[in-house]
Amino acid sequence: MIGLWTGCTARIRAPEVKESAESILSYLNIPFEEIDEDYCCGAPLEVLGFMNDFKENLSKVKKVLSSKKYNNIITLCPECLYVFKRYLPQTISRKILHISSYLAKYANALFKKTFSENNITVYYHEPCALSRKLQYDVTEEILEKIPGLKILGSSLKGKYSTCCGAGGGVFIYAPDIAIEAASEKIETEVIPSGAEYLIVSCPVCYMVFKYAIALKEYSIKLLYLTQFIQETIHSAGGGI
Amino acid sequence: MSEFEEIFKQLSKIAADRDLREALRRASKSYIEAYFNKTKRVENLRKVVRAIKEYSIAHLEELVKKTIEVMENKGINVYLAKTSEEAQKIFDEIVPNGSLVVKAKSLTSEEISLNEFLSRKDCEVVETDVGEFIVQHLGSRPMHITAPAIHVKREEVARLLEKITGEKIPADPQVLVGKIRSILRSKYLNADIGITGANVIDAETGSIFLIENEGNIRLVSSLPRVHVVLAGVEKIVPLLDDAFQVCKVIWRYAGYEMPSYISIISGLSKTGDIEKNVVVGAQGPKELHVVLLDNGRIGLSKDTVFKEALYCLRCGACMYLCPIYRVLAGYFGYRYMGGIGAIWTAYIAGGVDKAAPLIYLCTLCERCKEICPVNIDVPKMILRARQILARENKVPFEAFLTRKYIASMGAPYRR
Repeated sequence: MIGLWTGCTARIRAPEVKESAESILSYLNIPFEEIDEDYCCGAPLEVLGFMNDFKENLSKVKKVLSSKKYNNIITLCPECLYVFKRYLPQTISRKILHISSYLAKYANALFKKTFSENNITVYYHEPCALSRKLQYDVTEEILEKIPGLKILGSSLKGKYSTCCGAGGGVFIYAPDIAIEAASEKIETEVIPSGAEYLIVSCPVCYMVFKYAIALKEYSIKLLYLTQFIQETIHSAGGGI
Repeated sequence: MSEFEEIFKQLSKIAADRDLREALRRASKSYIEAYFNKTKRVENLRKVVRAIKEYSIAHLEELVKKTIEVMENKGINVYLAKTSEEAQKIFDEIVPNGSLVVKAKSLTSEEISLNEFLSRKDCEVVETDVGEFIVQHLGSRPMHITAPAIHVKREEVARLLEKITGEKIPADPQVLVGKIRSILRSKYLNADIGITGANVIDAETGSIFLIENEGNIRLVSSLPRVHVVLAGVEKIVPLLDDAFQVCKVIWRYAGYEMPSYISIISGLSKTGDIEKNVVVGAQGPKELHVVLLDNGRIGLSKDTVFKEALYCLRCGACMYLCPIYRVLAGYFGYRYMGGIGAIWTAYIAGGVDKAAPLIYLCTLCERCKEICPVNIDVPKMILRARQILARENKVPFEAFLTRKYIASMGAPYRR
C-alpha cells in the first residue's frame, strides 16, 4: 500500500493536481490512500520563523508517517519532502519519495502504448527543493521517455535553476511580488525557449505560475507533471 | 502588522514597473552569460578565500589593532569609528566646511550617510563613478553594488545630461560617458578632498586595495591634496598574499577576467630625490587618512550564525540571480541590497524594523548561496532572523493567520 501525502496546496488550492496524480496511480493499478487530509508538513511554519509551532506540528506528522502500513509514501510537493528529509529519522524518511522519483520506474510502462511520434516541446521548471536543496530530480528523465518530446530551455539548470518567486512564504503575504517574479521567469526564460508547455513538479510553483499566466495572458500551457502525463497518455488514445 | 502591508504594497508597484524590469534584464543578461566563463578558473580559489574570510572574522579585533599599528608606523592618519556618528565626527575634522569633495563609489559611505553629512557642511560632493554620478543627479539611489545605475535606461541618462548641460544629447552610451567625463575633469583638478572606499586591506603591510575599471578611483585618490579612505573593518585580511587572493575572486565574480586598474595604496606620497631629504606629498596627496568603521561589525563577528554576513566580498553576483532582486532591484534593500543586504540592514545599517520586510521577502530559494564565491549561507541567516522576529511578533499579518490555520485545520489555507 502507498500512502499519498498530497500536500496542502495540491489538496486545497490546486485539486486538479491532486486528481491527476490519483488517476496516474490508478492507471498503473497501484493501491494507495490519502494520508494527510488533516495534516500540514509544517514547511510554512518553518519558513515564517515559528519554530516552536513547527516542532509541535512535526511530532503529529511523524506519527502519521511512521505507520508500518505503507511501503512508500509519495508526496506531490517538494517542500513537504524537504521537511521530511531533514527532520525525520532516516528509518521513516527513506520511504518517502516525491512522485517524480516514484513514477520514474514506471516511465516505460506509462509510455509504452500506442505512441505515434509526437512533436511536443516543453520547458521544465525545476523546483528549488528538488534541484538545489535535495539535488535529486528525475522529472526530466520521465519526460524524455515520451517519444518525440523535446525539452527546451535554460542554460541555468540544476543547482543554478531560477526560483518561481513563491517560496519562503512570499506568496502568502506578498503575492503580487511573487507573481511578478514568476512572470519575470516566464518572460525571460520560458517563453524565449519556444516551448509549448511549462511543466512543473511543485504545486506551489504551479500556483504562482497559474496566477501569472492568467493575469498576464501568456499563451504557454502550464501543467503539473502528472497532469502532463495524463494528457499525453490520453492524446495517444490510452484510457485514462 | 500594517507596516508590512504598506511596504509590500509599495514594493508591488515597483515590481510591476516595466521600465525598471527592462533595465535590469539588459544588465543581468550580460552578467549571467559572463558568470560561468569568468568564474570557472577560480573555482578552487573560492575555498581558499572562504578560509581567509573565516579566519579574518574570527580574529577581527586583533587584525584591526594590528592594521592600526602598521598604518600609524607609516605615517598614515588612521581612525577606528565605533559608530556611524563617530565616523561622521572624524570626517567633520578632516574635511573643512565648503570643500569640493570628489568621491569614488562606496556603499560604506552610504551606510554613514556621508554625502548628506558633507552637504550640511556646505561641501560640494561629486560622485565620480559613472553609475553613481547618474544616480546622484537623478536624486535616486544606488540599485546594485557594482552597477549602481543598473535601473536607469540610456534614454533617461540622455535626458538627465540634457538638463545638466542644456545641450541636445543622443542616447548613445559612447556620447553619454564622454559628456560625464568632461564634466568631471575640472572637478578632479579643483577638488580639496578625495574619498574612496577599499575592497580589501591587509594587516601585514597596511595596504589598501582598490579595484576598478573606470579610472576614477586613481584620479580621486591621487589628484586632491587629501585622500580619505573609508572602509568597514571586515575588509581586513591578515596577509598581503591573502589580499591578492580575495581581490582575484572579487573581480572574477563581479564579471571580469581582470579589472582595468588595481590600485594598491600602501603609504604616503613621498620623494627623497633632493639630497635624500624625504618630502611627504611629493606628487600624490599630502595627507592620507584611513577611517576604519566598526558600526556593529565587531559585535556581529561574535555571533555564531550572523558572522557569516561579514564574509561578503560585495561582488554583487547574488543579486543578478535573486528572484526578488530581479523585480525590485535595490528596493529589495536599504543601504545594502538583496538577501545578504537584509541581514546587513538588520545588524549594521538600518536596524531591525527596516530589515523585517526585507527579511520576509526572501524566497529562501538558496540560489545566492550556490552563486556566492564564498558560499555565504544567506537563507540560513534569513531563517534565523525570522525566528527572532517571530518571537517579537514582528511578522506579516498573514503569517499569523497561516499559523492559526495550521494549528486549527491542519493546512495553511482555508478550505
